Amino acid sequence: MGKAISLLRPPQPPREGEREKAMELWKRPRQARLDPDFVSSPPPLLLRQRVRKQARAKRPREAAEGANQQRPPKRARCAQLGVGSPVAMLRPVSYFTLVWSLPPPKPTHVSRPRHPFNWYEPDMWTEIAKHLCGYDLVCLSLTCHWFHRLLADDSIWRHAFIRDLSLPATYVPPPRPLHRTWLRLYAAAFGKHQSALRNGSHSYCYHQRHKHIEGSRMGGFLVDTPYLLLAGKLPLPRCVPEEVQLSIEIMGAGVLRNARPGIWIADRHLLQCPRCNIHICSGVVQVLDVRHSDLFLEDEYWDGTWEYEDLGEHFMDEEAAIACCAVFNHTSLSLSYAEVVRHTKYWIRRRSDWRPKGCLTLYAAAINTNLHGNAGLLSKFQAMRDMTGDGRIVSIRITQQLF
Amino acid sequence: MAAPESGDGNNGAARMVTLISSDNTRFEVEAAAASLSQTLQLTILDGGGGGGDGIPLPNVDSATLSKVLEYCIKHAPAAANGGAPNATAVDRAELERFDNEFVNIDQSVLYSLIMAAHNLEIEGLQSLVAKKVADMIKGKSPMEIRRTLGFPDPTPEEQAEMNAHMLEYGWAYE
Repeated sequence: MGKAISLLRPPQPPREGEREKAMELWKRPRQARLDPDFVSSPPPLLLRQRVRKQARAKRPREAAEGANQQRPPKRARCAQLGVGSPVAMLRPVSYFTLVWSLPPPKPTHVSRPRHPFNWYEPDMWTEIAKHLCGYDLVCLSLTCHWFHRLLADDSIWRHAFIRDLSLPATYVPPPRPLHRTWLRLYAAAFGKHQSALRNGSHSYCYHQRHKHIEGSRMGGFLVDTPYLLLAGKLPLPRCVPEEVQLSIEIMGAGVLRNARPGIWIADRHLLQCPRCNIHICSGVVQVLDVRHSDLFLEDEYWDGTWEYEDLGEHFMDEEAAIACCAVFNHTSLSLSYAEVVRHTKYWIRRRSDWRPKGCLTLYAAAINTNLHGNAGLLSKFQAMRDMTGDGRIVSIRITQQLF
Repeated sequence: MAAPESGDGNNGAARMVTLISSDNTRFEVEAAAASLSQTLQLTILDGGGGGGDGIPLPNVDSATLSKVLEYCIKHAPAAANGGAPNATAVDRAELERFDNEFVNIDQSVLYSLIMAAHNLEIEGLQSLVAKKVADMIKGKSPMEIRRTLGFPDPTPEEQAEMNAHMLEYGWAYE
């Protein structure tokens, strides 16, 4: 009975001796209720600890209340934020309440307020980006943070790369390693290094720069197996010897068996004739320059470790009407050769037209220039191989004299 | 190939469907025209939209919907032919001229249109409007693009961030 009364009584301030005892009792270590390794959140505080914590948290808030009053309300802060992120551009709540109280909108577009936020729609912009070239994509991505994030998506750059190399949009290339993104590949293939404006002449900005006259990008073609057929004249011979140098010297064509598969880029150039000892040379050569699209990402190419090696020369010992050379994907030869030859009348210029002209199919690249009277045609075949790696061929040049 | 199977030729006269915009305006169009939209095509194939009950389109208002339908009606015959085979050069030139005029509109309308095309999954219209927006951007500097899209001028922090990004893209400039 006495105990029950003491429970009902309000707590009395303890006397001196008792308080000491009580403190001792509180300090006695208690066993943890749960194994801390098995709980993600800390165990619930005891009521006593909770009360103390709340009291502690309350004090600094009271102190900071004065400063808090000077801080602008959240709505005003939101309005100050720029266009940097879509969330920042959300209108404050009052915007919506205002619209709510207006009469229903009239069916006319001009008077309706449109906020830039409405334009943030990733799917829509991905679609729009498919119509933009690399330079425009860069400008767009420098517009604001949101676009920069969106255009960092590599699929946009892959699409641009394939489109700008005139490869079919349906072609799905194998995935690329992370450190060699499509963006880097695009930059390497279409970047405006030096004063070379997208015409591929920057392949000469390092090697033989002073000899370059003009050049143009033909596009990309696919090499899906290591077999490449090089030809210094068309039509092709029926068969060629196994040995490359012999084959080139006798037949003017040869099959390489260790090309690196992938997307290859073809460029056409006109050069000052490099030092040659044939007296009929008047000084200009045409070059069909094909290379693996990754070549410009290789340091060894830029520091000159990899160099062009001669594969062989072919001299046609009679008057040539045209200077024509081509590179074929040997596996798809029947397909691409038929295409190149069938379209001859479309891509080879008329007899009196001396300008060079290129032809590109999905699996082949060819160039042609009509020639003045001459005493023969010299074709030179060169290849660059990955000498520090697997030794595969990464670039080929076929050089022919023009008179 | 797929067009004759869609079954709208069975009824003799072209089958009509009713579309209801977000502001409750009703539009009656041929099923063939509405079928340009992938979303509507499914509903129509299931037999929806005929008779009194229309297909409600809560995301599209009447002004945009009328514009979208203008496009669909114009392009429906060409789509029914499967595009190229029967189309003469004159027809194609006519369609091209129509397309050019069609997208020559105010920016806000363009926005509603691209969103509607996106919601209704009308492929041709989507790429047409996307191309138009791309043309608005082409050849412009970042600041000009901002103005075109109606963004406010960048804050100093934003400007600093963009200048930092510009270094990454050095390859695109001279």
